[in-house]
Amino acid sequence: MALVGTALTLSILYLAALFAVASFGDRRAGQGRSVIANPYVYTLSLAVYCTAWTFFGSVGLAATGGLAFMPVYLGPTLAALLFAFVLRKILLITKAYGITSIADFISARYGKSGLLAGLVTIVAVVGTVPYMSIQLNAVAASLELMLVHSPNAAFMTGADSALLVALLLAVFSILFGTRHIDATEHHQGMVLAVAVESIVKLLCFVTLGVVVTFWLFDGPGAILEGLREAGRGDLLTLAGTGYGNADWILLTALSALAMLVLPRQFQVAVIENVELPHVRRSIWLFPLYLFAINLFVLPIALAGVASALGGSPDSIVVALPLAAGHDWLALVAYLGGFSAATAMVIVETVALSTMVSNDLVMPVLLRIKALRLERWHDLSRLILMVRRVAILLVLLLGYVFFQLIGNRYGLASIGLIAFCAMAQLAPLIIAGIYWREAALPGAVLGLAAGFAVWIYTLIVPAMAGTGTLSITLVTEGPAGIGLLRPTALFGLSGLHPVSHALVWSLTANVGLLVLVSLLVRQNKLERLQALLFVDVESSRASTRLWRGEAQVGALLDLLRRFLGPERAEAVLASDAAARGRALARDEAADAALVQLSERGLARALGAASARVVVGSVVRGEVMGPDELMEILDETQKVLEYSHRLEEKSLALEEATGELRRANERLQQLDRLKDDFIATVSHELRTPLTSIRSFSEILHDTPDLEPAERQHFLHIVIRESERLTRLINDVLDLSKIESGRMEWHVGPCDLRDTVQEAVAASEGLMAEKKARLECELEAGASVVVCDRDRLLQVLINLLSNASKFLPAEDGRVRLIMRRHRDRFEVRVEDNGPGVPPAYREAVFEKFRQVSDDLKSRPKGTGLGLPISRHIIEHFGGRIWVEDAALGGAALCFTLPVPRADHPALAAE
Amino acid sequence: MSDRRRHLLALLTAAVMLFSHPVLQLVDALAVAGPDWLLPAYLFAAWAAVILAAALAVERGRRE
Amino acid sequence: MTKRVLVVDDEPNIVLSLEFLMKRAGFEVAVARNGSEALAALEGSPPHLLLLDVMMPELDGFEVCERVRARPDWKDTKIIMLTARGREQERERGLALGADAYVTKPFSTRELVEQVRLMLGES
Repeated sequence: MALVGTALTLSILYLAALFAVASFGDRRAGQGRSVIANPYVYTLSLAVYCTAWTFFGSVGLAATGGLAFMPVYLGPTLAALLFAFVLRKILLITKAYGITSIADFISARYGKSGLLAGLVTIVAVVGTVPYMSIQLNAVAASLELMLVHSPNAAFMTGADSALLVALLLAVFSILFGTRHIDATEHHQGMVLAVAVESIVKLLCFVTLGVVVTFWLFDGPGAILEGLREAGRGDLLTLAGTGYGNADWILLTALSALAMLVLPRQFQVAVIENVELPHVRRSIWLFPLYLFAINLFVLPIALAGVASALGGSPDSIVVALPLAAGHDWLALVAYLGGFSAATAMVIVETVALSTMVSNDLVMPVLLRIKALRLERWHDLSRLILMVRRVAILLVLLLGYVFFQLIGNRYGLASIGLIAFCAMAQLAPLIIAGIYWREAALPGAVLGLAAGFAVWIYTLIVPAMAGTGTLSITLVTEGPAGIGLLRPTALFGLSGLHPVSHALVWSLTANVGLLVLVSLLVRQNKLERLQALLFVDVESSRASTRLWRGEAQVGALLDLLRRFLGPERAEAVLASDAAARGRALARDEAADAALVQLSERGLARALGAASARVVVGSVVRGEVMGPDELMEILDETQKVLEYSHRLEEKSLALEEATGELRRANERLQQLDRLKDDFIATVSHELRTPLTSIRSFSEILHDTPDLEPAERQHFLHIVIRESERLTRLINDVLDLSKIESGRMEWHVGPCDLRDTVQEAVAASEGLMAEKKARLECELEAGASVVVCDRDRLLQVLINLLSNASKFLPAEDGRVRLIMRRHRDRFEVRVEDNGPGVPPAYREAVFEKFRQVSDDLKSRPKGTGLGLPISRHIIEHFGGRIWVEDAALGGAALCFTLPVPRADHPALAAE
Repeated sequence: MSDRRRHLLALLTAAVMLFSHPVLQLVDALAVAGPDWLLPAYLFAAWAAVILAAALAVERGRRE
Repeated sequence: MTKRVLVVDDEPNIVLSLEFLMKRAGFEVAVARNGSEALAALEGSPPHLLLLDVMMPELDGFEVCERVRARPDWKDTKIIMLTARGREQERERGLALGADAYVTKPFSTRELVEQVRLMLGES
């Protein structure tokens, strides 16, 4: 198959694949799983900066001017360092006010001026046309070069390859870019496709570079050798660039500005930006990409020079592999260049078509009363149609430009001419976001003057070169006035033509912008917009501009016509959500709804058109300037004040909350302590009362019966014992609870301890006439704990059991057995048992379950709580359950110590 | 102004100086005595250095 | 005629001592172990004086006092409340409920007997 046929097939397949990638991106966006929401895709989409100009033109320029290609990439590197300042601010503004394009941005800043928006659009379109022609030129030239190498490709002979390319790209861009009407909606599929294209062109170029440098030549040394043999060693020097002293820095500056203001750069960097933070990493990733793609420009170009190829230097990337007989490499180079061109064309046409429809065509159509557009039911189809026609038109203009003058200049020169046109937008943007006084008349006059100077200094000479204009105009000046020669205006010579044009056009542009802005007063809307743009980082206020009257129904109809019914309802729904209720059709729309509608329309139409459209249904007008400023200032002040107040009251609230919580906790603790003290006091006073009363009785009644005396004395002794126990328990408990308890931890034999407790409790059992049975399992029963405390627990449980025994035939059974990892001890009785509801409560302080008992058990009410603390301290558990004997079973476990327990080793 | 922004501005100033005409002319003059590929080597090396410094300035602040 | 005193307390030893003291002072003594027993004992022939413990299970002293004061036919019964919880607000609450005196445990037996005698018009 003929090489050129393969190249064409490859192009179609490549576009189809790209379309699939874009559809994938859109589908994922539709599912809410964006694939482009990361700094890497963002950076790769910024690399749309590198077009066919980079791919073919840089090499072409390097082949004739050595390092002359570098300012175009050093400029954006420097601009990237300013991303954190300028781009960030532009992004903040764009996201806050629903900006759709660079024309929209500029016009919104200068009072939503339709005139300025149109002017910017014209500058952008005119400036883009040469740029577009570069892409067509480069792709067509490579195709034709391959045609020469395809002797039997008769079908292509005579065909206009540039027109073919233009039409192919137009169809593709239309399919690609105009599926949605809402221009602030991200074209996620497009961005993904552009990112993929950036990878493709980088890979292709690096592949080409590596093969050329290390395969066709034996490394950079060999290329340099060939260069010296060809007598072009000057290409490595500054002189070889052909630049004058100031050209280098001027062209760097020009490229830096272009980086910000090219419509396609604005589209990917600003409009398509998903999240602000992605900018941050692109600050160094984007220059890194530029660095990588430029690394092999010089080797390839010099290799081309050394090979003495002949033909256009811009074709070296394809011609070099063809001359070496590597057709596949030529295809790789072609594919890379094609992807660079398509990426540029797609994004540029999307950006331009939005501008043309929103800022040029629609405002005009809306003003033509005869069209009666306000009667149309659905204008969104019209808008889409305008955009499609605009895409086709821009590409065809590029083709015409190509036919007129395109092939007389190098790609890079034409690219720089386009840059210079776009650079006229930069002062408007920079002044717009940093200088509040910059005014609409200044902006319009500055832009117009800069643009005029650009035409005069760059386009006029170009046209004279093609013979369209008289060449004497350039050589001798208009009417023979030498000072006005387009290439040496006012005698300025010695500069590169583009530097020369840049100096004069920007001088005119900035000069008029500043001068006129200082002389005129801004109109009311402009002052407001200037404030909103310049102070975007600090202003958070949404300003209510409209003070007119409009019916909700009228606004809704408007929205329906321009946005379609679905989006119109969405706007009203968001208003209803903010307001808390939906407005009826016949209600009066307030400023908030009018503004919301304007914002919604601005997304589709741009700010200037939206204003005109809304103005058509809203009677009344924008507030007077002083009134407005007053309100703004007031709002700002109130906002700041309320913000400060809010902060303060938040802090206060927090502190209050903390205080309240602390206080509640304190009160709770206090209540608990109070209750505890009251209870302890009660428990202490009760035995004390008996002791005192009987002591006094004994003292005051000398004639007591001996038996009675004996009884009373016995009571005094028992109550004293009770008092002692209570005091000990209270002290124990307070020590345990405050963590001051001294534990004497060591190994102790559980069985021995149980037996000792049984022995100590025998008297008690005998007194109650109760039977005490023991079932102690044989085997080792060493536990690690405080032996005295364990004994205390056991005695406590036994005495506890004894208190609840029936008067006759009381039985207590003590069981000890070993489970796999723990010992269990159970003290069972045949008393009344503990109802399930109280089984936790018995372990609380002073909670004796004794309601139904004739004789209240005499305990401190602290025994079980203390026992629980002790058992849990040694890793066990204590609880109450039903006993086999019918009463309660108080059970506890203690862990079987591990063999390597330190307490065991110490023994 | 944050440290990151100050570092980026400082870097911009340094980069403008690295790529300014007088410095390039100096390197160009040295190339007469030294290897003829000195100027391209200088430009790409300085470019790489600026990118590296930008990466450091941006990424170092991110881990706070 | 002999004045009758009803001793109400859930502590058997305290009941025993109060019973002894009242008998020795020449009163006729009845005892109750809790609030319900006390109300039951009041039904027949109300005593001239009630020695009433506050902290008792079920019906506590305050409730007993309240119910006694709610009955017009028991209005002549004097009430001395005995408590082991010596908080001021409880004394006030007791007096507000209609108790004639409020004695904190432990008490001096002589003073208590003296107070009972005074209340019952014997000295």
